[in-house]
Amino acid sequence: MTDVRASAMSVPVVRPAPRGRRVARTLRQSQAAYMLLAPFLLLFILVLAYPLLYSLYLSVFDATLNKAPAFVGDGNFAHLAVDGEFLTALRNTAFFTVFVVVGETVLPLFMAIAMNEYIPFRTLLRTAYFLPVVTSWVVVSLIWSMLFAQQGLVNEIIQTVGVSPQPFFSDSGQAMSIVIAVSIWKNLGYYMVIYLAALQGVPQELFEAAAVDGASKWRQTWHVAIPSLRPVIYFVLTITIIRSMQVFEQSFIMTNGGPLNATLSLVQLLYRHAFVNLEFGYGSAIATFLLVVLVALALLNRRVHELIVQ
Amino acid sequence: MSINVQARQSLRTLQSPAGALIYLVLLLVAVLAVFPFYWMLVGSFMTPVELFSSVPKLWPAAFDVSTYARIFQLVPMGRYFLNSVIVSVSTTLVAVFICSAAGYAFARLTFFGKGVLFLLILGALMVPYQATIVPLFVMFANWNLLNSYLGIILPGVVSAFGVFMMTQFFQTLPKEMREAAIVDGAGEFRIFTRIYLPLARPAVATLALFIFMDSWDQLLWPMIVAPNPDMRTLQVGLAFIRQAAPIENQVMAAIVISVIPVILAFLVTQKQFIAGIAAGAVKE
Repeated sequence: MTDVRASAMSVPVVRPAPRGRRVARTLRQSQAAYMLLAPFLLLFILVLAYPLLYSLYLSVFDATLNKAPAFVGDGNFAHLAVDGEFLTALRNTAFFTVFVVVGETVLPLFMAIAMNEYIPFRTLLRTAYFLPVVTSWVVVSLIWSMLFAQQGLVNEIIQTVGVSPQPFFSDSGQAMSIVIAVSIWKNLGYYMVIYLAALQGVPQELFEAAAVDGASKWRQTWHVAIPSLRPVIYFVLTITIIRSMQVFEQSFIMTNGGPLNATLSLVQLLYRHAFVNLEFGYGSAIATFLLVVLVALALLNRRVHELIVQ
Repeated sequence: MSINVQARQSLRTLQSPAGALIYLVLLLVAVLAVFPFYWMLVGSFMTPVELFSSVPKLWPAAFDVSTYARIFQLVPMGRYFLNSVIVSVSTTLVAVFICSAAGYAFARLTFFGKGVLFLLILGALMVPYQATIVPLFVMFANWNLLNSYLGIILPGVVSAFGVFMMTQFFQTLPKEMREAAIVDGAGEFRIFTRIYLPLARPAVATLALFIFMDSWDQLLWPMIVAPNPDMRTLQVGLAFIRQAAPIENQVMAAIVISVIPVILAFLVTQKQFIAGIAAGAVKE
């Protein structure tokens, strides 16, 4: 960078600035740069880097509130492998992730393609889809927990059309389905907007050329729109996987992990161990597990992304 | 394109049976997105008897506002609101400033250790916030930061994404302005605050919006670090509202009070808001 700037300023560069002066300049800039970086870096170390290392440290200890921490080596992790609750939470989170990822990747894609046409009240529709997006998970979960309550509106409505009332949150299968459906519902508008922006970047000529060749709207969607959106589809896939693995609020509010742990997620289990039972060591082991899975996913994702881009 | 042409094209889309069907589905999804909020609003004005009548009512016979008065007696909604505002506003102000300063340094200055530091911050993007909450809680407990605003705020101000975003933005601004300012004798800090930061207003606004929303919606960390009921933010207060407000229309009223500012803010800023989301995603 230094050389580029030097050549831009003194028009015909006869020889580069002496090494000593360049180092001096970098030194001077370093001082200024670190002054600007200092607030972020200090806080970064304080609330991120150091706690992260501390968490790895805690995860090999049996550390609870009232007694001195005892080193247990891989004991916490060994216990994870045989902890029925942990395995249930892992299975639930994986199950949740698969359905939410498919739903949030596919449904908004079709909504965006439909919204990319000239249709009446397009802006109004988009605003409507965005209401759940701007509302917090807590509020959204509270609303749906009332709608699906035993005496709630959904049961009232299905009874008026002659269907018997459903158990909803007291049935493990239905409870999980509701948690999944609400999670997808909340973010439809968010991912639709991302797809829509990408669609508007697809050259209109591609669609026109396809139309001239006699391709129907349906074929244009399959052969023009979706292929050109591949990088964005991949992006949505990535963030939905990462976010779904961290699911907490929805099940915490709507089902509190129940019935019988049927909707217990990894983060909620972490919360229970670390902050209800105050088992900091075991909680940290769950956190470390989550960290490893998510970092592995992110790195794998980098690799796949490179393959796709080529 | 003129409005007329657009309208004609709109009609053409709807005239084919498939087009009409797709539009109907879009409308249904919109109803599904809005209805729960509508039901909260009307439900909060209904009496419990009306709310639980076996034939669902979609409009209250008479608007009963007593629930709103009652909810303020049952839970300190005002206090929750104040806590949320204090936390979110301070988080946003601090985060935006420190991320911009760091982003500017990465984008426009040459310094020792730059590559390594940037890589470190990029790496932090992969770290889920749950990975650090246990040690943070232990640390903050030792430092007497439990039940304090500082304790709730601190972890939220470090946004690796924010540094990344601001670095990218400052790279789009010409570096010649800095050189000219140096010739005029300005220091690096002045160049940043007086020249580059004002030019970064659109990026700063987008980042501020993201950070504010994140902070406002947070549940897990504030719930852990501030167990004292007086220190509950709005989200934490709502998460525990069932304990204090036994009747559903009271919960509904609390929800309405809490979402109205958010929805109003969204309606006012929705253009920039949606553009920000779209731009962020497409760039990545």
